[in-house]
Amino acid sequence: MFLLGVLGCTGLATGAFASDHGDTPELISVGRHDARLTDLHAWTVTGAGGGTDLVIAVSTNPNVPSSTTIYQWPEDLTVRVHLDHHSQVSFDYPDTNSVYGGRIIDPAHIADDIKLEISFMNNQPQLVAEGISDTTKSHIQLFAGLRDDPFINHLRDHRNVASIVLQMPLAEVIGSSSTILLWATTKVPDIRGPISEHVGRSLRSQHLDENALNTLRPRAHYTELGLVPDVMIFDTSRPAAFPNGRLLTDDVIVLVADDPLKNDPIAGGAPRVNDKPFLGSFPYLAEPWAP
Amino acid sequence: MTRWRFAPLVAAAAGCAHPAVLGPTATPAATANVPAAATPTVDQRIAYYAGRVEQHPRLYPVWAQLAEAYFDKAKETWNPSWLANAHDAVAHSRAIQDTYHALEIEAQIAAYTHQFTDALTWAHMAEAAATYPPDTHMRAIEVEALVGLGEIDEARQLVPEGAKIDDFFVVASLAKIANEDQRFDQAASYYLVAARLAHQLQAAPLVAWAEAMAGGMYVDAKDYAAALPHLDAARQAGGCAEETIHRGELLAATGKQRAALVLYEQVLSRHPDPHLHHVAFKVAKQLGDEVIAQKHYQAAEQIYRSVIDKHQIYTLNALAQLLLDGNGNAQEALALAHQNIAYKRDRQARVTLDEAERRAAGAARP
Repeated sequence: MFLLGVLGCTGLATGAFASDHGDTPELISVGRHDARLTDLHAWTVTGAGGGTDLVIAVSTNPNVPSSTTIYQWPEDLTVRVHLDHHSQVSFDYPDTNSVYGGRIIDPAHIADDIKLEISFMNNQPQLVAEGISDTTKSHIQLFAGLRDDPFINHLRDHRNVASIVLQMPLAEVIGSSSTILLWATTKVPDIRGPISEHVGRSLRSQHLDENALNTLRPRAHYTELGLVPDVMIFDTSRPAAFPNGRLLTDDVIVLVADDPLKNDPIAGGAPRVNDKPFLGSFPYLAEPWAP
Repeated sequence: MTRWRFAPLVAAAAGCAHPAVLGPTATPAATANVPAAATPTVDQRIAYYAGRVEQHPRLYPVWAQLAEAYFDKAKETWNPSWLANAHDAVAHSRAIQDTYHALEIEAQIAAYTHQFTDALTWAHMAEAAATYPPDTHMRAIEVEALVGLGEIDEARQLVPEGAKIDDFFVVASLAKIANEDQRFDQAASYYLVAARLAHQLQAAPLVAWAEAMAGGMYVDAKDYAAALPHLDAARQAGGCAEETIHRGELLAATGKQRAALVLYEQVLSRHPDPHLHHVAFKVAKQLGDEVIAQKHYQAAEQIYRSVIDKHQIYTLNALAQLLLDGNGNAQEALALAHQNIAYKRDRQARVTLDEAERRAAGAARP
């Protein structure tokens, strides 16, 4: 009894593996696994009209029970996708290119030019967009539901997550440069105030020593923590390939140059393929596993 | 002495910080995760979560949070009615959407109420939902349940000696098994590792708990000089019920029964707890203070019986032992111990049953 009595209220975060699967102790401590971000992917595809579309996939909730067949999105969960299309990025530094996908020239001024907010009512996603026209908004395709966990490391084989996929014409969300910065956040209310979660480049904000990244906007990662802002850099003039954006097929544990898991005997090793085939069309993520 | 080690920790659970104390302090630039001035009380949590589900009845994560708050209230008050509320709330949550958190709560409630077979089932289900990273919290509950069922070898298989001891729950489980084996020095060593891990995670309540448990192990090993620094460390980390219990044990074991009684009564004046009353009864009896002893005996008995009256079984062991300690009805103690052993078969339960059988046989003799 003693052990449970104590352990039952600790909310201790356990080890952190996978792209962003084990982070934000505050969410774990209050049992809000539904607000935990597990992955952020971004890549381009040829759109229906022949132009280039940007696809952004955000996955949440690493602890979906296998018995779940229909995912109920909580009505108090807010998922946001943030897009900065004004920040300049240099690709002249090979060391930062390999780790972060480039070097942001003025990290103190990172800001979301576009914000796509998804909330849920009667289990239907509601999209509120800031920084784009109504026309652009009408061009956005949106999927929200249960999917196979796109994190391709075998540690997450046969697991489902709750995913959101957005597809939109690239030309309508890009600025004067071909490069964009992306990050995603979730937020849920709680008794001591809202709790937020952040994902940018994979395998950063999940680590306990970088947990503060989850509470701050990316520019504050730099100005307040002195860290490289946790965003995904994506030069859309080049094919997506981690850390330039992130394809569904990118095994980030193997690809992240500085990640401690790279040499982990369980998580590391050769790049892998997903345990279920990704789809060739929207929403791209593989179908969920049946119970 | 050791038999008193476990149950009072339930009270500590109620006093544990909630939510977790981990994580950074938000700065003015923070987008969220802004902590309020103080950790909310259980009542505040109940009011908050109940209000939220009243407004939004399909918020299944909040139903689970409400269930957890009710569960904490049950532990804090020793009133099983709150357990019924917890069961209702978690069932409501799961009816909308099954979740890891709901399964986790089910496992914890089952283990707390000594329904160890159920606890194993729920913990397995929760563990399967987490898959990876390994869910060491649920693994710890499984260890707890297996030890409760008297299946110590199976518990050992879950956390074998020599397992990597870099996880709080794994180390706490190893300590639990060593304690059940009465390898007190080894258990103390594990608790100290647990304290160090908790310190690294800035989890002060767990530092206090682990240090206090290490101190308690040294008391059991009769290494009183080794016990004191850890009890002091526990107090320095914020203290907990275990620290009170084990400090009282240390005082009593070193001939300072009066000081132990004063300590227990100080804590009881703030937080009624049947196990504290129980140890206070024993110390008062040693001192020959029958009036005080009876007061604590009756207080402990009343709470233990009130739980059983609500068709719960998790105070059967404690009540049987109280009757034995107080030279009460040996036949009733035996009946309670027999009833208890159907659910709880750890060392504590077996010791109580053995004693009850001896006493009942003696009482039956002309």
